[in-house]
This record gives sequence, structure tokens and C-alpha cells, in this order.
Amino acid sequence: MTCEARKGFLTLSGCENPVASACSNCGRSMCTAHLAPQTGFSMCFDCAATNQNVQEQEYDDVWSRRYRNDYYTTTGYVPLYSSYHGSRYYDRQDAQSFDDTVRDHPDDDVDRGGFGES
Amino acid sequence: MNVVQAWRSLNAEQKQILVEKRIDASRSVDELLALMKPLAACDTMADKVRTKLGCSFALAIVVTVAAFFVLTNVSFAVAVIGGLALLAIAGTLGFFYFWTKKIDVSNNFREFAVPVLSVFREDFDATRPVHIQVDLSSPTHKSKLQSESAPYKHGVYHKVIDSMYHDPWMAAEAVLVDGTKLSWTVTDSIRERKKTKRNARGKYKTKTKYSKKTNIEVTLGLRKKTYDVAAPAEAELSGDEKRSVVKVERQVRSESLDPVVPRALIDLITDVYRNASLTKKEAGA
Repeated sequence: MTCEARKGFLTLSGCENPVASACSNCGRSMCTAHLAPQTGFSMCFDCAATNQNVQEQEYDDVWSRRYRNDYYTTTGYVPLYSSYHGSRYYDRQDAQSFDDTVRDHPDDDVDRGGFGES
Repeated sequence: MNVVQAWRSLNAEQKQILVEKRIDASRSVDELLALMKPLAACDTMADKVRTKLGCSFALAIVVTVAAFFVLTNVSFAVAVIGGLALLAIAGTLGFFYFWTKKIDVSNNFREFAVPVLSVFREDFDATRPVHIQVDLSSPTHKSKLQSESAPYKHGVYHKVIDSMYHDPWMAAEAVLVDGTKLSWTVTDSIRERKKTKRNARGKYKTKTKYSKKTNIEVTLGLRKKTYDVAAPAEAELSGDEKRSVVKVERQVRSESLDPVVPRALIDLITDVYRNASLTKKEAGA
């Protein structure tokens, strides 16, 4: 079973790390990288970001999640999902899978030398 | 942790960056943030304490001079000993004040560059380096001075001097997890206006006002097999057989030297994504 965290800001993707434990708030399975240290690794970053009692450090992952939540809410920006893990947390209607994109290696045209040069 | 402890905790590379006032690095985003965040933390502490140190330094000099003359009436020896003690305190405060000024970096670094990288951290392909160039020197450093007007009169001000600064302080290039190539540049054009007038009591007063235009240019190369792209308003769309290349630009005006908000850049990039949709093949995958 893999981590159910949603990674990213511009596009969201699933985390493929193995599960360490479940978030004490939402119950989703999380890897160690997606559990907030401020909560003793008991809560995921999404839940930590919405919990006013959790203190953020300057530009840490809790800050990033709060920024992301605020940005999505205030601008109405809806990111694309790059993978779908069948998590109960995700809304299937929101999930626009393009798994092939992630597995395709972005290097296939990297030797072109940058933007607009061809 | 105080500013001295924060500075001591920096490694040799980070201390060198504070001396050179420049970052030019190509490494993974996590490594970049590990390099940049302690510098930002040190700068935050230095900024907090600098004003207090400056005021205390000025006050200590005044108190030293005043105490010397007062104590001279008691005893010259006491005046010398007391004066030297106060001078040592003033010297220590002055040393730390000028030291915090020396290690100061542009607020663009702490309030724009670091938050932008933090927000996009999980969007950057972790296996590919992010190339970043950040100028940490003051936006009005003399090396950025482009021109200075001859003094002229304007209203009640008998002497006005306009200085123009050009500050291309950030450039970055990265590959995102969806294969998109992202690059951006941020350039400030600053007008510093020093206005001097004589008030009713005959005193000369000088005010300095700033006007800043921040130009943000973003280029996104989205893969054609992943996205169908429509150009956002006022964007330039081009490309080749593999990528749609969108160039967008925005100018932000401000009447201070305060850094441009990260949102200005983030909005430009999300505007491109708002105008991109998954290709039929990808949407059906």
C-alpha cells in the first residue's frame, strides 16, 4: 500500500512511498515524508495545515500546505491530478489521470537545448 | 537562537554566499532549500536586531560623551574609567550593528525566492536539478545604478535628484514532474528620488522616495502529448513538434522597495495551466 498524500501545487500527484502510519485526524495512510514533525508524526500535512494549534516554521511543509489551501480557495485554481490511487480521500470526478505522463521520461527531448530553440 | 548562533550554524558555502551576495547553483530543489532556508532564517534574525542595535549604538555614543563631561566634575580618573567602559559598550554595539549590515541580504531572497521554491517544491522533478541565480545585494547597490539626473527644482523642493537602478535579481530553470520545462526571470527597475527642501525654520530636509517596476517573465514548455494548450490573454504561444511553449510577462508597480509578492509569479504560471487541458489520450488513460 502506498502513501495517500497529494503532492504538488501546479499539478497534484500521488506519493508512491510505502505507508508508515495513518493520520490521526483523517485516517489516510501516510509515509513518513508526509507526516508533520510538529505533531509528533501523527498528523498528515493537510490536517496539520488546517489545525490552528500546529505552529509552522518559516516556509516549511505546513506553511506550504496552508499557502496551497489558501491559494486554491481564493483563486479557484483546480490542479490536475497526475495519478489516482483509489484513495477514499480523492474525489473521482476531480481526478484526471495522466499516469503515462509521469512514467514517460521527461528527458526524451532534453537535448534540444531549452525553450523555443528548435 | 540569536543572530550570532544562526550565523555560526551556517556552513562554509552559506557564509561565502553572504560575502559574495550571490547564489548560482544547479541542484535538486531539496538541496537548494537546505542551502537557502538557513540563510533566510539568519537574515530574519539580523533584520530584527539591526534597528535595535543601531539605535542603541547611537544612544551609547551620546551617553558616553555626556557621562564623560559629567564625571569630569567628580574626578578626572573616574571620568576616564567610566568613559572607557561606556566606550567599550558603544564599540561592541557598533561592531554588531555594522556586522549585521554586512551580512544583510536583499529581502527579495527571503520574501520571494525561498517561498516560491517552497511552494513549488513538490512540482519540481526531484531527479532533475533546478538552476537558480539570485542576486542578494541591495536593489540600490551602486553596481546597479544606471543613470543619475542632474539636480533640478520641483515645487517646494529646491533640489531633486533621480537615480535609476536596473536589478535583474532572479532567474531560474527547472523541469516539473509532468515533464514541463519552466523558467522565469525577475527584474526590477527602480527610480530613487531624493528631494531636498528648506522648511520654515530654515532647516534642510531630504526625503527619499522609491518607485519600482518589477518585470516577471515566465516561459513554460508543456509536452504536446500531455496537454492541449491555449494561450492565456497577452501570452505568446509557439513551439515545436514536442512542446507548446508559452511565454507570459507581467509588470508589477510599487511605490516602495518592498519585494514583489510570490503570488505575482505563481499567478502567471497557474494562468498557463488554467489554459491547458489534458489531451484526449491522457484524459482517457
